[in-house]
Order: sequence, then C-alpha cells, then structure tokens
Amino acid sequence: MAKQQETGSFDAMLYRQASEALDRRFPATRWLAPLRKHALERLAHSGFPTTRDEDWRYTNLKQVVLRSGEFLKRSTREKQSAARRVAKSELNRLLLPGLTDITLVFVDGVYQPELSSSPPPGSGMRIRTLATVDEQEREPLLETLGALAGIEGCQVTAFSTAFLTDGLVIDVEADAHVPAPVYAVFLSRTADISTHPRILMNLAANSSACLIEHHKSLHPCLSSSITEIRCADHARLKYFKLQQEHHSAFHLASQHISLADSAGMQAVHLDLGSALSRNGLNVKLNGDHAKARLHGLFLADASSHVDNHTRIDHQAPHTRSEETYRGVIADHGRGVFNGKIIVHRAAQKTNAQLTNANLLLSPGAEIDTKPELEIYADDVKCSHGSTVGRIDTNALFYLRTRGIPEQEARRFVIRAFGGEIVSRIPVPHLYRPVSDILAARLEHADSKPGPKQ
Amino acid sequence: MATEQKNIEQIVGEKYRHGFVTDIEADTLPPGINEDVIRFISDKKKEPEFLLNWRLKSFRHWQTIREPDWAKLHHAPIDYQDISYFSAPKQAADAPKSLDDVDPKLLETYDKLGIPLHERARLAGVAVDAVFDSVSVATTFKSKLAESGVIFCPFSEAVQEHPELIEQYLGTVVPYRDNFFAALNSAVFTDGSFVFIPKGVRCPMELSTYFRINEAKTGQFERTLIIAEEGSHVSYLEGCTAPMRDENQLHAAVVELVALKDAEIKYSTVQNWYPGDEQGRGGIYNFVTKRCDCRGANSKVSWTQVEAGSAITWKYPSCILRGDNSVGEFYSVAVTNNLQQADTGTKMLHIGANTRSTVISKGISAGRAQQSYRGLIKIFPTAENARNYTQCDSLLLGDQCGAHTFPYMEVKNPSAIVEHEATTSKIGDDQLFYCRQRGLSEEDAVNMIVNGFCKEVFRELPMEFAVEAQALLNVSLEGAVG
Repeated sequence: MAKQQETGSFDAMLYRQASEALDRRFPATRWLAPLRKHALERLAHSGFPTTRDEDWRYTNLKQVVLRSGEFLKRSTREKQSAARRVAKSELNRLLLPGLTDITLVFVDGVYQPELSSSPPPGSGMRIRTLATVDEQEREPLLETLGALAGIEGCQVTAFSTAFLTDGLVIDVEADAHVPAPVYAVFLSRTADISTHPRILMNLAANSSACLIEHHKSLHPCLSSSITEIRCADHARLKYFKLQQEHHSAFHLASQHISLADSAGMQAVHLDLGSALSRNGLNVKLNGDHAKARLHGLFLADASSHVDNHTRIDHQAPHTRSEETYRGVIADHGRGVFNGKIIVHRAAQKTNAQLTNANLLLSPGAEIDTKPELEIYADDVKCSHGSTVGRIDTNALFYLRTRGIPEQEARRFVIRAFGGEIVSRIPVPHLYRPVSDILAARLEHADSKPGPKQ
Repeated sequence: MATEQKNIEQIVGEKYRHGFVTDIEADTLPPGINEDVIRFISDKKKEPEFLLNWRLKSFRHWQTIREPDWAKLHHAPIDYQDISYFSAPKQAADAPKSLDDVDPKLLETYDKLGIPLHERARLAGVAVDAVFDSVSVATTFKSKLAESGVIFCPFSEAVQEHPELIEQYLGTVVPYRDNFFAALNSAVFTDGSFVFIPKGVRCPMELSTYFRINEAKTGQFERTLIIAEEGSHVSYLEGCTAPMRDENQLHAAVVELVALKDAEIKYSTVQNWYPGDEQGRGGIYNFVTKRCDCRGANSKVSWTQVEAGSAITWKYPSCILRGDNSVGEFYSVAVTNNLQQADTGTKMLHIGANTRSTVISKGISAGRAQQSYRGLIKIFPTAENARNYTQCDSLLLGDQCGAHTFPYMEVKNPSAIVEHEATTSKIGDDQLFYCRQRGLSEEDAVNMIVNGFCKEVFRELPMEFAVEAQALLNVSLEGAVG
C-alpha cells in the first residue's frame, strides 16, 4: 500500500522484538503485555502518520521513525542501572527547586524510589507506580489506561503504549485538597534510548491538586509520554509541564484531560528543548459549567521543530475555555501551532477564546499556525485570533530612547513576551526559577544577529 | 427564543424563487465522458489543434487523480459518466448578432429572473455576455468596448479570433494539473467569457455576465479568462441563478485572471443557484477554481462574492501576489440554509516584497446548513514586509446549523505581519432587545443586524450588485423573522 510506504514504514520485526523483550526485562509490569500487544497491532495496522495526514501536515516524523528502532533496541537491552544511579546532588542541580514534598523521579524510564518522596498517609492522595499496584487493580487499570487517550485514534499514542513499562497512578480522594504539587520528573541520562512516561491521575469529586511534569534529557533520545487526567464534579486541577529535552532529542507527548460538572483546570505548558517535539493537549469539557484555562509558550531555535496541537471539546452547556499560546522562533527554527475548539450541539451558552501570538526573530524562521473553530451550537460566543510578526519596532525605539542598547532592548521585549505565560504558572514560587531558565534560553536563541530592523 | 425558532422554520420554508425551466431544444450529447466526447466538443467549436491537445492532456491527467476529500462537505458520489458534457441551444449555428435576434423565450427567462437584459444593458450601461447553458447567445455593447480596444466576448469566439492570446495565457494561472475539478474543466469546458484590457486602458463600463444552467443533467463547465495589461483597470461582474431541478447538477468552473504591472481587476460574484429543497434534494454542486496571478508590480486584485445558492459550494478565490507591492483582497458573504453546505475561503500567496492582502469573510448559517471558512495565508521567504489582515465572522441562526473556521497561516519571513481574527456567535439578545425597544419589528431588527454584519462586504460590490445582494439576503431572511 502506498500509504504504508510513506509512513517511513518502521521495522515491524524490530518493534515486536523490542516490545516482547519488555516482558522479560520488566516482570513487574508483565501484566501490561496484552495492552502493549494490542497497541503494537494498531500501530502495525495504521503506521506512523505522514505529512499527508491533516493533523501532521507540518510535522514530519520520518527522522523519529527512522531512529526509533535503534533507540528501542538500546533501551530494551541489558540493564543500565549504573547510568541510573544518580547522586542526589546532581539531581538537585537538574530539578526545579522547592518541590521536595511529593517528588517522583524516573531515570531512563525506570522509577527511582530512593530519589522519590510520596505524599504522607492521610493527605488524601495516593500514588503508586504501575509496577507496584495491587493485583486486583490491574484488571480495571488495563481498561482505564488509554481510555481517554484512545489508542485507535492516534498512532503516536499507540506507539507510546506499545512500549509502556511503568508509570504513575495518582488518586486524589473526594474533598481532599493537596496543597503540595506532585512533581513528576522524567530524566534521561543515557544516550539513544526511548522512554515512554505515563501518568494516570484521578481527582475525585470536590478535590484539588497540582501536577508538575518535567521532561529532561542530557543526550539525544526519544521520549513519548501520555498523561491522562480525570476530574470529577467540582474538582480543581493545576497542571504545569516543562519540556527541556536535549537539543537533538525527540519528544512526542500528549495530555488528555476530562472535566465533569463544574470542574476546573489551569494548565501551563513550556516547550524549551528538543530537536523535534510534538505536544497534543486535549481537554474535554464534559460537565456543565466546566472551565479550562490553557497557557503555552514554545521556543524553536537552531533548526528545531516545535509543534503544539491543542483541542478543546465543549460537550456540555455553560462551559468556558480560554487559551493563550505564544511562540518564539529564531534561527532556522520552525514552530507549528494548531488550536482546535469544537463546540458540540449540546454545549449551548459556551464561551471559548483562543489567541496565538508568534514572534519571528530571524530570516530563516518559520511559523505555521492554524486556529480552528468547529461550532455546532448557536448560542455561543467563540473567537480566536492569531498573529505573526517581528519585534515591535515602536517598543524597541522606546527602549532605545531610554538609553538601552538595541540587543538588550530586544531581550527585554522577548522576555516580556514570554514572561506573560510564565507568570501563569500555578505554583508561585516557580516564577523566578522558570523565568531564569527561560531568560537563559531566549538569550541563547537571540544571540545570533537578527534581521535589520 | 420561541420567535427565533419559528423564524428559522420559515427560512427553511422559503421556496426557491427562480425555479422554472425554459423549453428550448438543445443539441445535447448523451451522458458520459471519454476522449471522443472531448474531440466532439473541440470539433463542434472548431478549435485549433493546440486546444484539443491541451484538453486531451487534461483529460488524461484527470483520469489519474481522485476527487479531493479534505473539505468539510458530504455528498453522494458524483457519477461523471452520468453527466452530459455538451448542450447548446439549437440556433447555435446562426448566433444572434444583437439582442433583437435573441430567442424571445430566452429574454422571457431573464424577465422572470428580474434581470431584463436589454433594460439593464441600456439603462445601467452594462455590457452583458449572457451564457445560456453552454453557448453565449447575447453579447452587447461590443462595439463600444471595441472603441477603447477592450475585447469582451464568449470564450469560444476568442478561441477563433484571438487564438494567440488564448495559447499564451490559458492554463498559466490555473494549470490543468491544479486540482481534480480544474482538470475536468480543462478537458470539457464548453464556453465562458474572455476579457482583454489593453495597456493603459480603463474599461469604460462594468463588464457583466449572467450565467444560467438550463438543460437538465448537463454540467456547466465555464472557463473565464481575464487579462489586464499594464496599467489597465477592469471591473467584472458575474451573477447566476438556475431553474429548479431534482437531480444534482455539477458545476466546475475555472476563472483565471492575469494582472500585469499596475493593473487592477475587480471581480464580483453573486451566486444564487438552486440550493436544493428542504430535504436537501437537488441543488447545484458548485466546485469552482478561481485564481488571480498578480504578475506585475503594483497590481491589484479584489474578489468580492456573495454566495447564497448551491447545495454544495467548494470555492477558494485566490491571489498569487508575485509582483512587488501587489495587493490582494477578498470580501465574502456566504449564506447557507436548509441542508446547504459551503466550504469556501481564499488563498493569499505572498511572494513579492511589500505585498498586502485583506480578507473579510462573513458567514451566515441557518437551518441545518454547515459552513466552513478555509483560508491560507502563505508568506514566502522573499516577501519582505508582507502584510495580511484576516477577519472572518460567523453568524448562527438556529441550533441545528454549524459554522467552522480553518485558517492556515504559513509565515517564512520575519518582517511579515499576519493577523487573523474570527468570531462566531448568534444575534445577541441584547442587540435585538435594543432594536425592538426602539420600535422596530423583530424582522426589521434582524434584517438590520444581518445587513450591518455584511456591510463591510456589500460596500465593496458595484452599485448594481449591492442592490441585488441585499435583495438576495432579504429573500433568505424574509421568512426568518416574524
């Protein structure tokens, strides 16, 4: 079939061997084998998406698919426990500060209990890994894993699931309010491996919690993660994802969040690394009066490719969504943004707003943006806006009249542009450290001479 | 809300006004398409060899490709072998020289449509090239146009009299390989309009064509080519309406515009083909490829369209802004009702420096209609200081309809500024309340609000069309209120 050819047809044999090897290497999660097998079958059937698929129009996975076999092989080979032994001091250097209460550390895809700290009993939150769940939990988990993400619909989800070895299962009891953020770290220290982080979170009615996902790698590698979060009635979720992969790493991630009656969420998403990244953020507003607020910032420089797809499904009346994504593109970087809002027939009295602003810093930079509205209900207020431009010359002029050199003035303007998203991070004490990380990155991105203004 | 509910039902109940069939014998080819059919059409039109070869090339290419499926449109598969590709009124051989020679039945048809051709032509000073089915039967004011060197004639006539121009320009803006429907049109097009404005000439009058699909089961494959030479100016009007038919009729037109240095083309369309009945039976399938190539510096093109008819509309008038400082504009009002579906929008390809484009799209969706705006703004690396502003607003009338927006923006030059805004909402209760509180009836209030919603686009239409467009909108919304 022609389609199979264009998919950069992956080495099916190698994939199968790698998936089967997981049964032996990770006996604690051998119970996931049927799920892996099913996902692999799906993938074999559909292949990886190509640029002929509307959803992947601007993002070519050829390189990723090409190298995935090698990565998979390496990560399923012998144990590299030595690499995973990280000194606490080194870890502290890599992690975000001040998040020690509930920390869950994965190194090269393997959970590190000695580096992690769980919530105290009685806090209303329970965290297990897929390797340590009780036996009677396994059966229902096989059903819930991927129920929101949907293996059928997305090939990348199938890919991630086909090599799933471990992950977090987080439950928040009804009426529990957990003030400390759950800090999940996925660190890759070995070169050329493939990891498949997974989080399954449940917020019971009227509970609240905060989840921070931090993806970091020190060498080229592939990470494909899936996060599924269910918020029951009146639950409140705060979510922050920081992607700081190595500049030659691949990062394919998706989040799937469903909200019941009057549930609410705030999400902030920062893409600062990787050679090619694709993030799909999917929010389903299933209950009346559910509310979602999404913010994102992505940075593409050198020759990196950053793709952000968001999709908000308004499925119930009186739901609201607000979304702001910003992109900074430098050098020969390429940014892709696709923001989809679907208002289903039942979702009368919906309010939805989406804005996407992009800054192009140099002549080779490219942005492809597509805000989409699909509306099937009439009593709605929906709007979206999208802009692309360079640094506002008036702003630069203003700063220069105040005696600020041009390069510095540029830096100010770019920092302010990104700072607006950082200021939305739901954990206040992270503003400063994340701002510093961002500033360092932006400075690096804009260090090459920009176009003559 | 109860009143509005009723209004929508009344929109749905609004019958197509222009549904009738003129009884004229036609020289019609049996349904089906193959190379012989193409040779027949070409032979019938006494075409030069280059054109026949081009048609055959197109046909061979068409056979290798498939219908596009990316649009948000659903329809029964089209059987291309079940369509007759040629139909011409009997008197084709001795075509009328002036309006007086025209078959009175035809003139009657125009009368029923409310567009008395001679009246309009004389009073409004508009030259009309009316296409009745596939052969142009009336061309007026030709001599007056000829004085200023403007060529305005049926396409088939241009093929006879100016083959060198046809050979030079045909297919250079929309190549036959462009898309499925363009390829089909290139193979079987029967007639259309040809306009040539020589260097430095400002066309003395608005050029206008009224199209009418008449013979049952004949697809209408128009081909329009407008060439504006350096420093020239032309305003072209196109309007259409079709009789009521049960079977779906396919329409795949191609419009090519060429604007050379400093030239300006204004192309306006009012489209009111039969949209099908309340159950979605019948109605025209309208797959149109329209494109303008702004080849010269400082050239300008402006597309204005009012799309009210057709069961299916697939139409993306585009501008290739190749010349430096060239300007592209797109103004559109689309109204869909009952089970109509429209997937329409524009493409602005910025290639030259300082190119500018404006896109204003207004969609009104009622009944169970689905409407999509699909637009592409592409800034090439060469387009220094390019500028685009896009605004698309949708108005929803009734809880069964849909309005969708798919804007693509691809920017490869950091000096470009691209802005896109879109909103979707229904008529605000507060707006209605305000108007009614001032003593306006609900119908007047809705009409006023809808007209205000579309004003930015209507303003761009030539006077004659603005009136027609407003009337058209009122017909659609007449039943909508009170």
